[in-house]
Amino acid sequence: MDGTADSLYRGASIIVNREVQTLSMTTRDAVSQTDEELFARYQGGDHVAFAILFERQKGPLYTFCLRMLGDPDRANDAFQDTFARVVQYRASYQSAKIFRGWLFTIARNVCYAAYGRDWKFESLDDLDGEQIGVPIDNDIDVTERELLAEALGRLSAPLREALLLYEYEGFSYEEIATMTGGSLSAIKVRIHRARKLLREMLEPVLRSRQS
Amino acid sequence: MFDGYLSNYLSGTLDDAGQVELFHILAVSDEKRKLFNDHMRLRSMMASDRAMTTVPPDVAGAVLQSAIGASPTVMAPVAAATSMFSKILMPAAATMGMALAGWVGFTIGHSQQNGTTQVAANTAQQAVQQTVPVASTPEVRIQRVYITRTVPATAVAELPLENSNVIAQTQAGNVTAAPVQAAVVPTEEQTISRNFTSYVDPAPVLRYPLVGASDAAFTPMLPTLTPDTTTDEALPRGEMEFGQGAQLIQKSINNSNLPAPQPVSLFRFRFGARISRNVSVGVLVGQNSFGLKYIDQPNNYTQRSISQYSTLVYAGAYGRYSMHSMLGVTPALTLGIAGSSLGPLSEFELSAARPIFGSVSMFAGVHSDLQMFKHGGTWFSSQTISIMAGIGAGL
Repeated sequence: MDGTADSLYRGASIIVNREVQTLSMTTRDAVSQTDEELFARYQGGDHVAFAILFERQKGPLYTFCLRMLGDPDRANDAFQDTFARVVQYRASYQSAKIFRGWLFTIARNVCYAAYGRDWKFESLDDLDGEQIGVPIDNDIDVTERELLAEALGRLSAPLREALLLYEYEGFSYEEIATMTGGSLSAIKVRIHRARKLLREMLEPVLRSRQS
Repeated sequence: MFDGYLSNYLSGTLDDAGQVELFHILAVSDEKRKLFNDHMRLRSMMASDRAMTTVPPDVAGAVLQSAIGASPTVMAPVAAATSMFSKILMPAAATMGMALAGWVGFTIGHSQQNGTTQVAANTAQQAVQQTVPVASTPEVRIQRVYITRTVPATAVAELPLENSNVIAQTQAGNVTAAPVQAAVVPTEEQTISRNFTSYVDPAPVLRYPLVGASDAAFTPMLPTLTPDTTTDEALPRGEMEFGQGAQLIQKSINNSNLPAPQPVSLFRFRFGARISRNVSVGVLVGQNSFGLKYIDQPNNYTQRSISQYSTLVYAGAYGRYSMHSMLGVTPALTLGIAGSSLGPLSEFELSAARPIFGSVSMFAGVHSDLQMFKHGGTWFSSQTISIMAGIGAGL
């Protein structure tokens, strides 16, 4: 899939260091380029490879930061910090790792660092009635996306990140467990609970959609 | 039990037996069915949320700038769905604008020439002479036709002075010949007064003695007409042209700051031959930039919208239909089918050409490319609309 995306870049030009560098890889080469191969090329100094990788990952990564932090300004900072760390620590990346897993692990750490001690790590038991089962304000002017963002923001961080990584980013249970350091069963439970809580909070919206 | 089935179903890990159980529960329980529907809609909401979230261009640009020193340029051909205004009205307006500008320019350019031609034509009409029907030809080629005949001296002598000229002119498909100047030679002053400066006869030749009673006794001697290389009589005739264009609609895709191609990204070379008066066929090679947008589904639960830019080289064949010239400008409609590394491509071009010297002409027009490409078993397309200009030559 991503290789095909590369092929679409054939012949594309990018201004790098105020000089035009032409991406010269052939379609066949580009199709076979995985994230890991592109990042290896970037480690070797190929800036165009980084640009391609950035284009692939910027959307999913920004969405993750935005929904994890719930604030566009903080998401912007986390998004930039993540890529800054990717650039800074590029030499430490080992090609045996899945690049996306490595990238989102960095993003996760950046998001946690962004909140620091202010982050609410409450367990499900800590969630009171105001957070569970009580519908959020169903203002007619508030779009469904905003309601969803608000509901996601009410989830605890572990539930939120597990759900985002699974539903939004397409990671498997195993990959999420590796990234977060949790057990496989714990990840399954988090995702299940996150879905359940979201459904309860958004039930009026979902039912109105149904009707 | 139901929660377990539901969770596994949403995760894509529910086996066949579990699915049977789940659907049975859904069939018999309204409450569970509503719950199931809620989860499916929730998933749909999350997918929509993910697809609609975009990175602010300044943020993405800042990352690229700091990471690799790149200055992303946001300029791309159209890939996303365009409005009716963009699809129809803008190209139409551009075409009409060019046509109007060309008409005004060429009309101004023709105004003085028309004035001179009119004087000569009136003079020819006044002459009492034989007319020789010939095929209607553009006036630029009329001046190449000479008709020489002899006229009795007596008849010529009877002509009024103002009709005794050697102008060969054509009007409405007729060539009017009045070639004899031997009998009555206008004075220099008279010649100037008739404003014949637009045409000077190349020394008429008297082939026969000036004998006979009247014009009716003489048969005009028509010269042998050699094929005019500017007409279809010389077919087949090769043609080649080069065109360069710029995107007419420059629109980024998804507010993307993707590194985009240069504004002038359309180059096209054609080589062909005319197979009839109006139709040409040949081969083409071109290059254009496309903004490509497609949907990717890495698994059953994730759908991603991917936007990319690509500059592609394509090669194929074309066919052109040239319409009748108007005011020296020849409109043409060109259709081409080609292939690039991503898939088939078609091009459409509406242009207008005008000779500039010899067989060389310049042209301008509107050019549109439609690139098809396949991803994940699904075909997608991207369209560009460009204005272009170039130069062509007949071989």
